[in-house]
Amino acid sequence: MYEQLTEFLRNAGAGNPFVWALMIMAMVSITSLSLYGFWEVVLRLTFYRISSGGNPEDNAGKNGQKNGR
Amino acid sequence: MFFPNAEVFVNPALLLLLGMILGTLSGFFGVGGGFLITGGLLVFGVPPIFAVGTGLTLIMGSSIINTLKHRHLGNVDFKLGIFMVSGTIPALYAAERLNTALEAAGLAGPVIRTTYVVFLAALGIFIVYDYWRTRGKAAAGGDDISTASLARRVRGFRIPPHSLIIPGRGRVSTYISFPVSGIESMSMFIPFAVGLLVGFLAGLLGAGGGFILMPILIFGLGIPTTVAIGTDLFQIIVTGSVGTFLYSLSNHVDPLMVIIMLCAASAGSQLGATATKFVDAGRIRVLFGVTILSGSVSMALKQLAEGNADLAYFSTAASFLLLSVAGAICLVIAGLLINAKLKKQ
Repeated sequence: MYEQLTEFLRNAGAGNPFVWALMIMAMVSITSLSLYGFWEVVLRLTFYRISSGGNPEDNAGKNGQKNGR
Repeated sequence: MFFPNAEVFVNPALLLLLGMILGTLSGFFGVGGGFLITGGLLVFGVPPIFAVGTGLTLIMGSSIINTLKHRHLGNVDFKLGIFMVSGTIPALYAAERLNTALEAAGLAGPVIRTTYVVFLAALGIFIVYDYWRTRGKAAAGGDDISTASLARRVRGFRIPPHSLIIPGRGRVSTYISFPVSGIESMSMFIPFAVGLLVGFLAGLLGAGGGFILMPILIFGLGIPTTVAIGTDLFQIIVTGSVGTFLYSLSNHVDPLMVIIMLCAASAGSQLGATATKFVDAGRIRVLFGVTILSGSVSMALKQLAEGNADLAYFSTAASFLLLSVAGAICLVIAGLLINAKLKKQ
């Protein structure tokens, strides 16, 4: 797998320079967008867990109020 | 691990560490970090031309992530950024022409390094001095930069033509508002001129230009520090993309190295960009001043090593110094963020 990747990168770099430059720019842009999306999801899930967790006594109080209504 | 394009063995853990430092500093200061990444890769044994090309590609990716993150925080003035970019692109081309002429005359290396040292030192000293001079005023509710009156005057410059005729829209004023930056009215030629200046210096020095643009936006135009950071990053996407394209054409970019560093930089970006929300603007500026002062010392050491074989180890010492300061600043940023969050609770 790693050898195949090495071979591909070597050959692609030695081929058409214009296509190679465009390919690198596209690859970096897509990776950046994916990583941004990944961290957004991770952070949102973390904050959601923290905000929905917290002090069990507070949660019990909140649940009691909801049930009272 | 072997990197096929640069044809070099580098420990991936070191690349991850470098990427993390770059992402944090880039998100916190709004700079690309070209002077840091190139020095770091050279220490790891990457050939110089690949260090520059791979560094610029990483800067492009890291700026995309940081711009999106700052956009989410409401820190990017896209309107201002587009006007500046329209000046940056032709200036980059003009600087590249000048660089080629200097190279042919054998003057490129010394001219670039000397300009770098003087420029970084002057900027660093000014920013630290400004912080020292204004820290009491900001707390008392006054202007939090010493050049506030200069910035107001620059924003009020009247530059002809005051209006332009656009087919289909008639006569349109050249004075426009930039609400995100808090500017009610400013001639559109001012950001264009700023873009020209930054593009020219960035092209001449072979950097992204973030360390030049950020102080100009804050001290020259009086834009809030966090908006200057976000808008600066938007501008770096363009300069970074041009550099990536040019170096990729000559096959001087190692994509595998970029991807590894980008993964760590994306995590660092979260820390750096989030910290700008909690850390006082004056502190951000003074830390930036210290970082670019260390960049100036590092470049001066490299300049000394260049002409003297006995002082060759100065070059490695310069990169180590820069990496150590950058690492220490990242720890300070993490500490300030934790402290601010604890105070908030």
